[in-house]
Amino acid sequence: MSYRKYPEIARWLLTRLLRQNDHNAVIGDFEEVYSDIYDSKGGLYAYLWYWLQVFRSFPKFLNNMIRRSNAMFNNYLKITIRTISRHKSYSFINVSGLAAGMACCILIMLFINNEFSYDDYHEKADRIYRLVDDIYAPGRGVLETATSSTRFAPFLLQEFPEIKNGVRFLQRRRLVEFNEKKIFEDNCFYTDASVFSVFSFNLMKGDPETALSDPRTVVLSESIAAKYFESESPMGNTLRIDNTDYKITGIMKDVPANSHFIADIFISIETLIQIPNVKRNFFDNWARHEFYTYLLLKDGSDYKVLESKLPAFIEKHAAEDIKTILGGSLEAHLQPLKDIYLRSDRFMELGQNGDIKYVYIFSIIALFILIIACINFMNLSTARAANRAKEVGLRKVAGACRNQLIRQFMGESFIFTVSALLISLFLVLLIFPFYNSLTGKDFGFDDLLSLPILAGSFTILFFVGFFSGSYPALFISRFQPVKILKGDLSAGSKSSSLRKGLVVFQFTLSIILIAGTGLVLDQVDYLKNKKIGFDKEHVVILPIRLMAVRSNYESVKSELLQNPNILSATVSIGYPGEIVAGDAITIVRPEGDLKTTVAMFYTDHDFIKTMGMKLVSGRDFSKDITTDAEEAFIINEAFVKNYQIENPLETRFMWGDKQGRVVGVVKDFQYKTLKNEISPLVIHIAPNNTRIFAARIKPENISETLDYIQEKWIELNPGYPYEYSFLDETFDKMYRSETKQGQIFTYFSGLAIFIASLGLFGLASFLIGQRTKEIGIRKSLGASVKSILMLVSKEFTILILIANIISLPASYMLMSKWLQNFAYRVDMDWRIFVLSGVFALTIAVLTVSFQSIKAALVNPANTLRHE
Amino acid sequence: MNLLSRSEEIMLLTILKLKENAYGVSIREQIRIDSGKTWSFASIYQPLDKLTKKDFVRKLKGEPTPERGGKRKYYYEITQEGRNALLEIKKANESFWSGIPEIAGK
Repeated sequence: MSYRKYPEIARWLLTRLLRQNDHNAVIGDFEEVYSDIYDSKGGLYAYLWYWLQVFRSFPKFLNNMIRRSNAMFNNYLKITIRTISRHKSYSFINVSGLAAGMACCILIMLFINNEFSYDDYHEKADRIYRLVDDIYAPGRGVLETATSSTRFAPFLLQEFPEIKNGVRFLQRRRLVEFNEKKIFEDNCFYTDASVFSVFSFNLMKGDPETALSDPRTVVLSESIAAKYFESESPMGNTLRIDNTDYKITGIMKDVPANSHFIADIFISIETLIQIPNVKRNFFDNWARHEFYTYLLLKDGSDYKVLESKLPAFIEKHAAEDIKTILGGSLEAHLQPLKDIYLRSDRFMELGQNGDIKYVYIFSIIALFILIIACINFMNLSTARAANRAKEVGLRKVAGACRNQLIRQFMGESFIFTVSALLISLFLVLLIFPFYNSLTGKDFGFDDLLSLPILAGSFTILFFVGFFSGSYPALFISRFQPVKILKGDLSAGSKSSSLRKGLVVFQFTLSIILIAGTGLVLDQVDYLKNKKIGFDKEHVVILPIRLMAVRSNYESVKSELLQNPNILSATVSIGYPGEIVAGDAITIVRPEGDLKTTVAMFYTDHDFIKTMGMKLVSGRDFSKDITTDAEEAFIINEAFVKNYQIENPLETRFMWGDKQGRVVGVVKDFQYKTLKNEISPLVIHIAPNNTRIFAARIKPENISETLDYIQEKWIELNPGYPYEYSFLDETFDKMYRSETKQGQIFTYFSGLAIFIASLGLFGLASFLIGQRTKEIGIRKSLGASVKSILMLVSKEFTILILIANIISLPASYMLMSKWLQNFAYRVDMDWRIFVLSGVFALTIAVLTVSFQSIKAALVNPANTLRHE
Repeated sequence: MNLLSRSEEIMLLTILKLKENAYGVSIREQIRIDSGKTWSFASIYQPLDKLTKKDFVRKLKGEPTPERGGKRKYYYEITQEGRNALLEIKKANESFWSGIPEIAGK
């Protein structure tokens, strides 16, 4: 018999598969045939045969193996189910706490996943960049806009071969008409014909190359087309937009909701170029920044390289225009398309962008809540260790090894976790409608099935199952059977310090969340109300559409003012929180004129009065002084501070060809969000440049006044749909994301404290349950209910107090970091920290005392008679 | 009682046919001779295990031999219950087949 080399790996695999005792016989069979083949056909052939046989046998042997290991598994399962049903409240606390925590995590994951999916659907997303401007005006710092000049795209395309294509957008609100339908559409975008070759907007009808090449052509989104055209085919039809006829040359699928801008109607940019006046203003110089420029780079070109060439390019083409028209300088940057939604927060963004900071904050909250829920599980399991100890002892005596026990308890923890996950999915589905309104997203069942969410859920499952099962598994399985069976093991006493530590940790996290919530709400309230510098209540805003209204504003005003409920009225280019103009002015100074750009409100005489703003010095515009209409300017405090003007009321100005002087200084008011500092602003009478009509009304009889305004306005604006809004509502919209954040904070921190108290409740009920005899003896010796209450609550109270002490500096640090996002921030109120601590303490004490009162009220005879 | 499965039936028949020499390798070889198909070892041991559990066959320890890498073999022997089960499936098969005219077809 010659020596034969056996395929060791294959054999090893076989021994793993055949866990039964007689696996040697089977391997013997393999090897008998193997040696036959080896001798007759050679080693290699035999080798391959062996492997092939192992593979052929694999599925069936595996199947067998699983079925064989069932025996023990069934026992574990039975014990787990018995444990669950015997300790219903304990199981309920465990599973519901975990489920709530997991539901939170899943919701937050959905949100984060959605935030990261923005603009993902564009096939060339990784090659598309937005060109944005930083405009430097002397004495005013930098204005970072999301927009740029129309001239960039064509000039850049000519000069840099690495740019493949460019698209420009101008977003406008337009009155769209077809037959009887007449509606203002917000998302009208003037754009280049190249839009469909750069972005992946799905054009269903029409030619993507040429659909928007001709002037007065439009492409509609599907839903807009359906809105205006019920039976007719929209293609080739004409649509009236702002009283001009446009030909419909294409229909596209609706722009997906996860886009940083939503376009409903694309209008060819040629339409604008054909209007001489518009062409001169927007297309023939570098100084206007109303358009958005997107560039498509060639494969493999680095945008950083291109960006580094931009200063020279600007110097060559644009610098002169900027200097003469704006009196400043310009820097251009490129933003990757995928970064715009989460990382760009510039002036004039195309839509409400997200914020990467919120994504981080949310992730942290999710993690906090998950940890709190896990701690519940660990605490309750270790606390109950003593009860399980007998089982462990018995199992060990019967021959269970530690590994098996670890597996059993891990398995138990996974059963809890899996059922918690199932419940949490159900919860998530229930919460969806509410969550959607909170986040402004549109989540549905389908989103739960998306790959990242499934992967995330499974990660949570394993993380939670492992993390919360590991301690009990390792701890309980270590018990020595002799000690246990001798009854030598006090109720998880060794683990009690760890348990206390975990409770402290849990409540520290909860208190941080509560304090954070308090502060966020405080700050949002501060932004909305404390320092706005004008009276935002009871002001009705009406957009001006007709030239006739704009030029006859005086008579319109006087007609409306006939109603005694309308206190005052004004016209303006915009209102605080909405649009403010910006233009170059020259400050006349003895040491030399200073040309700079400032924010401007074009208004009439009554703007300051109607908005309820306050003057710091000087006077308001006055009709009695006829020169006011031409020469008077009012500046804000920031203007005075910024340009270090000593005698504001003697300052002289040039704006275009107008000469003027400052007649008053208005107290700083918020016209942009207070995340940034209030910048210099000029108010000037220029009623021809106005867009809105604003009326301050009496707080009484609002609905009647509104009816009156509506009636008059429709009369004055024949043929236009009636629209109005309230100043406070539109103003508060500026802080929509902060408000939202505050709300989400509130709910999640509420949930955190709920889960933590749930755990405390379980822990308390368990520990008190162990002390029933002690309490009984104390009572029979004359202890009062109160003293027993104190006795039991004391321990927990100390823990919460420690948590308070730890969380104080932690939350202070975290919150001061958050507040740094704002130029104007509320003073951190020490009361918030105290209140959140007291709140947590109250909840904890209430939770514990529910159990302790129950224990203290029990008749000692009942507890002591036992046995 | 449940009827035997097809593979169990084949196993029992093969064991009967092989008499004293029924063990893994020989059973597999016999099946190859009778059916022309080579089964994997797993497909042999699975029904054998089941039959053992049902007490239709008995396992007898054999002696280790060098060509088996020094591992012993198990001989399989049919029990009385096994024989009964075989008879039962035979009867069932016959009644299944009775009344079937001609399947070779035209």
